[in-house]
Amino acid sequence: MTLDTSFATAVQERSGQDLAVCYHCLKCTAGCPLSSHMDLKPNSILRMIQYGQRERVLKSHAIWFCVSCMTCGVRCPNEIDISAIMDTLREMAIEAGYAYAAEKKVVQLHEEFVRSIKLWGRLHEVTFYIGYMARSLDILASLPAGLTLLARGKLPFLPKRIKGAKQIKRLYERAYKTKGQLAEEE
Amino acid sequence: MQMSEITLTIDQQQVTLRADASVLEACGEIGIKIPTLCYHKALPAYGACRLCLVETELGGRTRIQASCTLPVSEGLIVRTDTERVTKTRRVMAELLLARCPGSDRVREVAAEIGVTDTRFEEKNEDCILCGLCTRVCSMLMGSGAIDFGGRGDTRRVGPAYDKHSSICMACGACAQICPANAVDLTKVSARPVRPVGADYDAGLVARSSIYIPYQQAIPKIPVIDRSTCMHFLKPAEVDACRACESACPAGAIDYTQEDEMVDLQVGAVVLAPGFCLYDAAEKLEMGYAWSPDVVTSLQFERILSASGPYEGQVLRPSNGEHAKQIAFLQCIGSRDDDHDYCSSVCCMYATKEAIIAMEHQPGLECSIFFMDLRAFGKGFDAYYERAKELGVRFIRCRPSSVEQIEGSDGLRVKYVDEEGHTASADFDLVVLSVGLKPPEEAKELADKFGIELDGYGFASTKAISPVVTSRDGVYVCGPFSEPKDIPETVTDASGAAAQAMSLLAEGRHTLVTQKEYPPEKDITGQRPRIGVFVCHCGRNIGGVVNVPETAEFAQSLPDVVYAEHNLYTCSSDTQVKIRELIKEHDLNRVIVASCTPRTHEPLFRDTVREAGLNPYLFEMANIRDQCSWVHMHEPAAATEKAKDLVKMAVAKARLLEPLYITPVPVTSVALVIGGGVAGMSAALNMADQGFPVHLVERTPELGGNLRHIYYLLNEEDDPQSELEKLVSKIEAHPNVTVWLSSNVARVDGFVGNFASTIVRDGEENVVEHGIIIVATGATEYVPTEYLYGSDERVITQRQLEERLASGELGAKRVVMVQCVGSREDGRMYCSRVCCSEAIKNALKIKAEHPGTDVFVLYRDVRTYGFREKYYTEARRQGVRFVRYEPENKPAITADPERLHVEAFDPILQTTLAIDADLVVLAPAVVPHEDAADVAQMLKVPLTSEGFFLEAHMKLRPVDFSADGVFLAGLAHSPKGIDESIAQAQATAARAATILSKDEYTPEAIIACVDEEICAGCGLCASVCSYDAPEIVTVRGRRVSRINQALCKGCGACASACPSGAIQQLGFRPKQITEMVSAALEWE
Repeated sequence: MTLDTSFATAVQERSGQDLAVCYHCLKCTAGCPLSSHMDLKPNSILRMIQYGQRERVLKSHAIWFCVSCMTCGVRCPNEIDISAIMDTLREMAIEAGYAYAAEKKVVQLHEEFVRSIKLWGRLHEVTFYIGYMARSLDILASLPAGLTLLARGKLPFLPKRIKGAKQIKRLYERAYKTKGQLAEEE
Repeated sequence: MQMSEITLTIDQQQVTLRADASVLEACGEIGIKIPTLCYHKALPAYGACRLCLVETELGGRTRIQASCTLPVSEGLIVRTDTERVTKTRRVMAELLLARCPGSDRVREVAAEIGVTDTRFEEKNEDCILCGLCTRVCSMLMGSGAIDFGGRGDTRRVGPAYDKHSSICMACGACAQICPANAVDLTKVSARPVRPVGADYDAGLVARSSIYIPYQQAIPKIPVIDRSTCMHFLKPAEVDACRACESACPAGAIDYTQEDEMVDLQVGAVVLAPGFCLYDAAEKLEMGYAWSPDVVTSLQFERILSASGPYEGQVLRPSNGEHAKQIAFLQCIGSRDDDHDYCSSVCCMYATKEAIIAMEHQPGLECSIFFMDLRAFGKGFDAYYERAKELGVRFIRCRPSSVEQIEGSDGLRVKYVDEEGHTASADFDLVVLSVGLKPPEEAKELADKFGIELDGYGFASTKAISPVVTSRDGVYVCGPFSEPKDIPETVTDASGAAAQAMSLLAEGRHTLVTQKEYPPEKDITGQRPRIGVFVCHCGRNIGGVVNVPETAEFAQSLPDVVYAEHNLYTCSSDTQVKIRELIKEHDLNRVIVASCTPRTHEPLFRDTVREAGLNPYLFEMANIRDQCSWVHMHEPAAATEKAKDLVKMAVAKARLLEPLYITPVPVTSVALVIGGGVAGMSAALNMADQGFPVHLVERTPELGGNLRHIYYLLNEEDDPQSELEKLVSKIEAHPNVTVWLSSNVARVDGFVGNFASTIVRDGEENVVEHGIIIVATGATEYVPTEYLYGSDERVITQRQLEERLASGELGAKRVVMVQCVGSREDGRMYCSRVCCSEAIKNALKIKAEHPGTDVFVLYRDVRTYGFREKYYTEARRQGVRFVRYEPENKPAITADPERLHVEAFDPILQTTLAIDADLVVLAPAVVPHEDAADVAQMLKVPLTSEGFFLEAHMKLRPVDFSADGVFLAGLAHSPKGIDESIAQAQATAARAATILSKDEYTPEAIIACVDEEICAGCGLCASVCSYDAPEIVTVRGRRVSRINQALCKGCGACASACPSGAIQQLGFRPKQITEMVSAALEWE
């Protein structure tokens, strides 16, 4: 077998987590509320990174199921924050172009969310969600919840303007400079 | 000034007593019982309940009055049992019953005066308004937090303004004194109402402020916790409570006691403060803080204990029901970011607790959630396998949390199974295996004694001097230096003693005074004159058995010339009395009827000896453990039994004969077999203590296995230079005679008097010595698996270390395989050192040959104690650890280019194919081939694995059953260098207990042979565990001769002897049969 350590090094540096220290106590996987939905378990992902299985990890669905609840990181006896590693893996997956193939809708939702904030400085649920539905053609997913919210007056039709909108746009520009554009915008 | 006295008449009897008494007290003086509810002798009378009514007549006027509040007066006439009195009391009882129909106590007292129901309208109160609580709170406790409020119908007791009181100290006195159980402290106090948890029962049981710490406490007397005792919490002028003082019949309570400062001049200090446990409440997700059914391992020990709060039943603390499924969660507070060490004991204690719980309750299911099962000690792996056979489930996963199951009172643990699927299991009891931490006083002790603590807060020691602190003359033992198990702790303790003894060798015996005894009386030909002393033992015996009656009975027995009873026969003043009485009544046999001989027999024998009698003319009758304690609820029967026991003791005492011990001279020389680090350490310590030592090594060089160790895990100590130092010290020491290339061919004799034949260059030399230390070491298993021996790229860890020490490696990818030959059929034990060795070499490779891939294929990583941090470092450095199961071992094939290693990775659930340049095996530590011969020569046993077997694995880890022979190092079991050194020093301490005396005093109650009857059959010798009987030829006949020094008086030979030639002194058949006759009253 080949042992490409570059992947492990890259993940370790970008996430700031010392993932080699993991001794596979399985606490993270046991505590992860989403682990039963994941194709690769959190601790297995760490091992695969160590073994240089870059494609397998970045193409997985598991990294998109992580909701960053940080149960894993808070309880890990070696203080490894797996959710931070998941974040890094998600970024890498997007950069590598694997993201859409794995969990398209998750990525699309994420991108619309990010775009909405960039536009308005603050999330505007209605346009964000319409944008998501248009891209993903996933009309029915949260429709019942959306209608209930609408009925209770929780969804303002017009976006709220904020004072720091320009500064938020600048933050985005700076982020793009260092991390690259969103895949969709390239 | 004398209190003036008053005479009055009660029920036509005259009573004279002090003028400040009440009529109720006067009735009490003459034994007239008056019903009361609101009266308590420690509190001023209140007259609330009106049950103590009596009829009084003074100056011709008769009245009905409450006797408790009525002071006595001269000439008063009192009638307590007239019809009028009885009728009026009954009405009062009916009123009380109407107020509190649910109160058991009210019903009880009412029934005593013949009232069972009431004509009045029933209310539903609990409180009878007796005011006992208000009085105890203000007058005894000095708080005054509760008092009466309201009037008439609305009268009630409560805190001021009916608000939770901040003056209330939640001491519980009101709840305790309330006759109707009507006090709910949570409604009264603003403080949290929490019972004070007994420390010994790990908080499971409440205790009062004055308490006996635990049943085995020495001294077993109560102590007062000043932090919760009201007397000490309140200002001195309040002089609160003092309830314990008034309760104590011996007047033993002294509140003025202060800490006494004692100045001691010492030459050495041994610190053994123990450890404390990790506070499980810190891990909120584990449920300890909110669920009563989540307990710590120590609490579970108390739950399992027959003397614990549930008497050994496995019950759930929440509802007292039997637990059916128990989960054990390992590594709570160990092996994590805050405690990067392993607590070493938890894997084994959890396994033990699971097995014992299942024994107490068949059908119980136990699951242990673990990471690595650290069963590295002697016999531990076999125990672990047995646990699996018994059905304990071992699940390799550290659960994330313990959760309450919705809608039920059970607990759920989510985990990951072998294949990596998430699963969950429900339990009704969860045990957290909490880790060991330094004791609370660690920092304080370190400051006071000037020693250094390590990064974790434990006492800092070095690998080559494991019981020595950073300060000369201050030694440590036990978990204070590192978490460790019982055998290692006991070993450490003797090791620390050895260090102290070698330091203070010159002072030996200088501060000891010999005790002088008067000459022994010759009682031959005298009729028995027996003295019997029956003990009350406070209330222990006297509370059940009628001791005076028993003593009287004893006096009536033939040959008993004197009998008395004592409150505490073992007290020093009673010893003085006994000695005087022996002389006064010319007693020639003494019997004490009290506790078990195990407590005070030596004391009484000594007393008897001091009075000039042979100490074996003394007999004990156990009327406590075997009588009052087990027949607590049958005092009459217990008294009869006590009399029987005394009669039996008297029957035997008539036949007691004086027994004499011939002290055996001791040759204060030591023989150490084996010149490795253990043998040398033991030899050096004994030599420093002043004893000549013969150190025998069969190879031409000293050093043993240590010669092959070039660096240690901790990188601080250099083993080769330490070895050199040790060897020079040995060679230079005037007390040590080194025998190289020599063998011990023969050992004769017994403790204190051995004569051994050492063969060197074909020449036989006989040396005399008093003790033997077996330090013959062990060797490495030569693997046949994994291509070892057929491919030179497969080497052992030892060979790897030699390579690395010379700076070479010659490989880019190294695969290490652990447990080669260990932990399998035929060798079901752990070789203990290999995980640390492998990690040590892996770290060396990473440090000196960076870029080399290292894989470690393991079954459990057993880096226990402080070795854990090196495992962490190894992972950090990129060493890859892959676990394998014994059913699925790695497979190694070779081709000229590389070695191919195939190993199944359970995390990835795939087989890894690793191309390696070097495969390093960790072979088992195995006994030398001729260990069995050495064992036979020394007449000591081996374990089933072939290592030497000590007298007791936990409590006597360096002794053999045979006196005078000791064991250290690898010969005992696989262990590291520091552990070998500690054990070797321990043997030196144990040996010194014999060598430091001129004479060895054997047991007097031993077997004796009537050589006329003895047929020389040898059955006695085959039965004896101590090799005491020896078949010798006397005047042409074979007879058995008992070695007085070795015989322990167990009686096995006496019962085995077919001809009755062997009898047990002190337990001769006639003595026993007389006792039986006395018990059965045969003539």
